[in-house]
Amino acid sequence: MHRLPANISALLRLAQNGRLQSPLRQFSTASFGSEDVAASEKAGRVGAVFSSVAPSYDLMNDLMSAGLHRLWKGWLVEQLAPFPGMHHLDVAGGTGDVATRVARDILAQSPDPEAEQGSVVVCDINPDMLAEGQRRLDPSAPEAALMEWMTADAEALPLQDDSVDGYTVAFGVRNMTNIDAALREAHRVLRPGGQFLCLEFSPRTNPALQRLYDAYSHHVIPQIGRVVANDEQSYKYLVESIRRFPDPDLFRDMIWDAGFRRVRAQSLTGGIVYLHSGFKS
Amino acid sequence: MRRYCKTLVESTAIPLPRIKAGDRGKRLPPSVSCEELLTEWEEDEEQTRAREVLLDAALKHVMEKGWSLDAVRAGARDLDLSPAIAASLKRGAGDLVEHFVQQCNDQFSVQIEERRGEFENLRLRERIALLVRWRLELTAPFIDSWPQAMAVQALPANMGPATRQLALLVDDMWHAAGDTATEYNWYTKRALLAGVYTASELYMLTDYSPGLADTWEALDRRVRDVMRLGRMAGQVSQAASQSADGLRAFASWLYTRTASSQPPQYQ
Repeated sequence: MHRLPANISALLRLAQNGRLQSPLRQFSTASFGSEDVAASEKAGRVGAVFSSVAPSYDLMNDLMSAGLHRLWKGWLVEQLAPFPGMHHLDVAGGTGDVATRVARDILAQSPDPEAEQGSVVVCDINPDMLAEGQRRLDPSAPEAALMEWMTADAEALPLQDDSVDGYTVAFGVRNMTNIDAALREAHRVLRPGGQFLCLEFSPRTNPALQRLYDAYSHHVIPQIGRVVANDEQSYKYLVESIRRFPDPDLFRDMIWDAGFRRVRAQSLTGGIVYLHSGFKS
Repeated sequence: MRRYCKTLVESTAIPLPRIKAGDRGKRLPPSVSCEELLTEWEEDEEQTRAREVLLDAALKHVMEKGWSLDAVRAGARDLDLSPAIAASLKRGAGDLVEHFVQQCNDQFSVQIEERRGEFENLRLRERIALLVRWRLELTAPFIDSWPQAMAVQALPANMGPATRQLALLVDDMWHAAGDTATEYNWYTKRALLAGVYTASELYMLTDYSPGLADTWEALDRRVRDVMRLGRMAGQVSQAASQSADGLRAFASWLYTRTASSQPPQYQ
């Protein structure tokens, strides 16, 4: 595929996200849904949204995507192909949905229960989401032994270089203030050969689907949020933030620029969701 | 047939690992979109080389782990890479088998050049049998796990590349045997030799005779059958062309008869 020269794609990215890199960062803006807020403010605003939706997060996912998010996450884990002894990091893992699947898959692949099983670290910037995940997890389930919970910022992970085999982020990247920094951080913590996987809604879908999808997300989803979670504003944000996310091709180049190779983008369900993957070489 | 299948399974010295979901290569994602782009990465030279190094390392573990992603992961560990890199193989274990077959085929081509003197003066039948034997001897070290490799090759995603490799191989064999003709039976010759090769490969899997003597004997029989078939085909085509001549003569006679009795009417 044709790739833009790095400086042009960087300019495009800058234009699209409406923000600048540090040191000007405190004066720059970040997208918060359809409005622009100061970059330093975004994390707090997003934090408030997720603290508010945490208790009903998984129920809402099921209602909003008509259960499709389970298929998407299943596909994500299949592409990851977990193996015995794997050390995995699930960023913006919130309620531990993806992490539990990965942990279960690691156990299913392990023929020898005595051997080293590996670990799955759930990382989220929001302690409320993690608390919800820990509450839901059955501590006696075999996968619980593999899982660890960690409150951390994806742009500054408290992990050593070359320490994990897999890095997943499902529906989390668009809430980050500085996506480039998060990608660089992912590249840092992955071991050479490790796989990066990102599941994210895309602003560009199949044209035949676009109008129906727009109508659904602008009118139906906030209403579901109002009725079920009693929080229309937060779900409005979630929908709007999808529209502000980089185009799949652009995001693919961003992953490449962060140092990943064998980068590809898979469109799922008519381009509503994209799965980006890459390997640290 | 059943007895044969049983011996096929029991013949393997190691228990064959089951083909796991990941080894089947990639399934289709959970939806099919109109644009269905599945943008694949392009592989530049550097990445192709890295992949070959990985697969070479994986081959060292095939005896122990079978033709599976587990072998690739073990190879990655040897190279100090994360085993997660195994997921970068688009067809999983299929890539591993293809890589090995390609290596053998390349080695075989070199062997043909180096040992030309050994077969040049033989009869065509013996030449072909010797060439097939040389190629099978390259697979022989992996005979214990080869049924699994053949099963991997037979999976839909891998069938195309495996068939292409076989076609190129038998083409090399015919060329080495001195057959450069491009006549009507170009395809049948290649199809027949591919059949001989595959049949002998299967025979080899259950062969316990010292030095695989039974396989080479069976190979001779197959080649002889094929040569007889080839002769027969020649006779049939000769007969066909003779009767075609007869038919053509009859048709032209018929035409002249009808043409002379009923001259065309022009306005």
